[in-house]
Amino acid sequence: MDMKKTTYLVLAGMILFASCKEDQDDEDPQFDQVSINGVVIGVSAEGNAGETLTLQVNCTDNESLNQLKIDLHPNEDGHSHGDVGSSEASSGDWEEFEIIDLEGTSQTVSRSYTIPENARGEWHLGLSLIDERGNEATPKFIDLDLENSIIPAISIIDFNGVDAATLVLEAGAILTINGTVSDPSGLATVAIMVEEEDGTELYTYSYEAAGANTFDLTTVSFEIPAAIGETVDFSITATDSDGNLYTWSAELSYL
Amino acid sequence: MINHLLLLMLTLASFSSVAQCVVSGHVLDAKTMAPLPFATVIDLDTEAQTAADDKGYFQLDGSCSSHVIQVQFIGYQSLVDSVAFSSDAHYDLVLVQSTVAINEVTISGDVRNSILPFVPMEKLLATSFSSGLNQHAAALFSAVEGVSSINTGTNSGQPSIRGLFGSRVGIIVDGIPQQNQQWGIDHGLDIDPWLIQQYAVHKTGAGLLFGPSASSGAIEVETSPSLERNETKWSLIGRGLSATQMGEGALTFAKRWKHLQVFAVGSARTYADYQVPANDFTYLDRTFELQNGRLVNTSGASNGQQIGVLWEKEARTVQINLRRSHQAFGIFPGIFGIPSKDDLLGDGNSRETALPRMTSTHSIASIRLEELFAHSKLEINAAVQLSERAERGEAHAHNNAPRPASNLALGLSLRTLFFDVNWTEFDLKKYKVYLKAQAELQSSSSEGWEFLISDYRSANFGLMAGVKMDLGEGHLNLGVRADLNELEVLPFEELIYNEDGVAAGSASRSPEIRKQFLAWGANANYTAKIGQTTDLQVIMARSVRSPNAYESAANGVHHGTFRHEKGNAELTPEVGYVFDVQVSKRKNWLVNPFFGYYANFIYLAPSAQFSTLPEAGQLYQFMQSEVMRYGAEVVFEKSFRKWDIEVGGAYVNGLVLDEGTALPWTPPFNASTEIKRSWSFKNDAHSLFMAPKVEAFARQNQVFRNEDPTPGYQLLNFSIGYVISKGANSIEMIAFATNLMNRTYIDHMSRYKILNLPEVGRNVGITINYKF
Repeated sequence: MDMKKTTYLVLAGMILFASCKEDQDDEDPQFDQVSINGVVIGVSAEGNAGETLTLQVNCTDNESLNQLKIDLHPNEDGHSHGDVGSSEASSGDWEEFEIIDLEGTSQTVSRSYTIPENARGEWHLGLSLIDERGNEATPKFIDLDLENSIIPAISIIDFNGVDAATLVLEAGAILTINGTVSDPSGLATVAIMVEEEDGTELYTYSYEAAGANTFDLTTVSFEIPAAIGETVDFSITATDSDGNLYTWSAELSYL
Repeated sequence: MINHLLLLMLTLASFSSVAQCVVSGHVLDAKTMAPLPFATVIDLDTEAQTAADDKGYFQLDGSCSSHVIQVQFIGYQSLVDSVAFSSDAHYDLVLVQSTVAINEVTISGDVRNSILPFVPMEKLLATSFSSGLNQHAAALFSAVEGVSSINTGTNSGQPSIRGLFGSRVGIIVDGIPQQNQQWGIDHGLDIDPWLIQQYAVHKTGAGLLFGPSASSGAIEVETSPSLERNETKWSLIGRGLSATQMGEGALTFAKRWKHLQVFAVGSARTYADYQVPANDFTYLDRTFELQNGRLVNTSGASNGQQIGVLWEKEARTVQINLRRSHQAFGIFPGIFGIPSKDDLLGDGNSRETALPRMTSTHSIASIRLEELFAHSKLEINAAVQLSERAERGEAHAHNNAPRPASNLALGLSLRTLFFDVNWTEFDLKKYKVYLKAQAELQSSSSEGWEFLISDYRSANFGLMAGVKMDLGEGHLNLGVRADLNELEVLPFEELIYNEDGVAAGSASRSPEIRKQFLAWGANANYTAKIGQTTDLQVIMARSVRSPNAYESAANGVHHGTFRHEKGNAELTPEVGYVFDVQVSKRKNWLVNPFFGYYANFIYLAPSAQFSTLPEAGQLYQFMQSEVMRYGAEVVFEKSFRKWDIEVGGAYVNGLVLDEGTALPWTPPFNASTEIKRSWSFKNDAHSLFMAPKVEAFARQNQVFRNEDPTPGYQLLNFSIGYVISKGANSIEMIAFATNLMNRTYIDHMSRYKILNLPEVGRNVGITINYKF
């Protein structure tokens, strides 16, 4: 046979072979149903600090499940998981992380967590699932919005009309804080502190709230002290009558 | 022809003695008819070559038939012609002067003066033009169909041959395999493109000559320039790239005396943050916003230096090279643990490199000795290499461990000692015999508060023997190679801390591994002519590769691939059987299908477990499976008047037979068309070329478990160059643009696809090269 024809036949055979569809038996495992406190949830749920959160995850696979990963973390940096998540930050450092071995084609996992009393804001509940062949389900993310009526709440709108992220302090200028501090059980103290990066105190202010439920931060304005570094640590700590405290903090730029 | 194919199936071949004839003559300048001394004359059929004497006279021996010969001389267009060898054949071969080598010259002789390449190759002269047209060395090599470049960063890339890369593709520079921890898909070549004088691409069967690290292919690079006696060459190069605001400068120098030649290259470059046409990226299933598409903290700088000394006298050649390359660049916070929003905003300075950052330094000292005898040649290569990488970040700890004192997250230091001896015996009853003994010793150590791989030592000893037979109508190369590979990985225990931060025990992070592998490989390579102008090449190869230290013992988060990778101490040598056929008509067309079967192909696959390491997702582990790979390259070329047209395509598919899925990182089908138009003015003192090129990449649905398909895309590239020559001086101005339409696309072979990050958008480059 002519060599050219032989070559073309071999090439054609390879192309035909390549166009054949391979059998792929692998199917990804699935999250059939996720519920919190008995309520089936989609992409969001709510909770309250101090209460118990009961998570139930139903998983299935056509062959054999292998592991479930539960990853609960605060949204302290404003990240998202596709459509889940926002720029709202969280307070508190509550985290739960667990890898659970599974078996069979269907299994339900239940876990109960006590929401810490200092948690408030947006948490992300991430669920990941792998079967025995290593196929991974599309991860599931739930936006968990935590309310907190235990610790004081500090709401900061801006500083001198400027957002904290873009604010540049200038020594000698007057700083006015636009925001409020509140607590349903009554506030005890509200303390403001400005520190250098090495911890040197530049300014402190303490207000005795005497059980008031709210404190208007605009009543506090002060002259910005001189600083050595390019940034300073600014914090507001509120303590309520029960001894619960909450701190709002930010790193502010210096001119 | 069928008889010749049957001959391949036998382990021994019979041969018949062939009467010897000769062709002789002079190599002359076409204009002045003056002799061209020391011009190279190559018999492309037998790969024998000779150099003309100082009067331009040459003589070649060969069988009494027509042979295709090629004549080369620096500054002249190469001549390829068919001549008839007889008892007294005499030809005057005239060469036309060329002021600039715009087109790559494909030759089929050996890169150096060695006599017989056992592994087929495609070779190109890397003119400064071709270097100026590409962003980095890896992109330069992709001029060969079937070779592509995987971008590993702003100014670096890693070559891929038929979809295989890393520890499977050997990079051989001046006879020395480069060892720079190339197991990392994120580790690019550190070869300065201005160093490259010639390069050769070997596909199937390269492991026979270059060892197990070239089991899927090799790229040979020569850095020593060709100068005439008493010639001095300088070049001053400047280059800029728009996408990363890169500025680069280089200076090259070469001088030749009667027997001695010295050359030196120095280069430096700086670049700003990487920019992609994307608004966000994904890491560990989290989506993060990007400001203006900028990957903050990816700026950096690099520099390289090489000094070479070449001494040639009569039959002896000695070459000594000293080379060093250094890179320092930022690491995108999005891949160094889970980033914070502030990390991704950056500080507005697109050129400042903050933590996390990486430095990489590769130093090599090598020596090559060649001695030509009447019917044989001895070549000895030896080198010592040091490769050091350091990843630095803000010190942090997990699981109650104390905060580290330094910012060194991971430091890797690799020391390599290489030695080989090559003996070629030719004209031995019409056989050519080739013997090689090779040894490579490595020692690697690591430090830092992150763990990826433990300290290890490895040694590889190889013996190779080959014979080339002239069958009259063709040639048959047979070669066999045995390698003894020893690997010793030291154990590593990781401390476990209690809630008080006190060490309360330890856990094994890496077990002790002691392995010894003895494996053999073989090649049968048949070449023949079909008619006057068509070449046939058939290769059958048994390739073998022992698992390397990383595949056996890694256990940590590899920031370059954004996942936890774990080695497998149970891996055994990977053995493949590859069949490769190439039919071509020189400068016209080429068809090159191939097929390979591997009983135990080593690859990285998602396991059925999640990583227990902080901020890591699914665990990936090395495993072995039955794999079949096949594909083809096709090239059509046409030149007429001042037009050059090249149309090419490459297809590869890999199947994991046990799994019934495609092999991970299988490149999509791609095709390209380039049309080049050249002009010359003022008696060839000025020349201009323009070359638009369209590349099309198909959608890739052939993916492995948990690997995402990637959509198809097309890219429009354009290059234009102008050269002004005056005597020995010239200035080359080249402008090129890649992705001219600023398409957003994800490269299936790029590690950034794991982050859902597209490749760089429109990138315009300008290179100016002043030679004097």
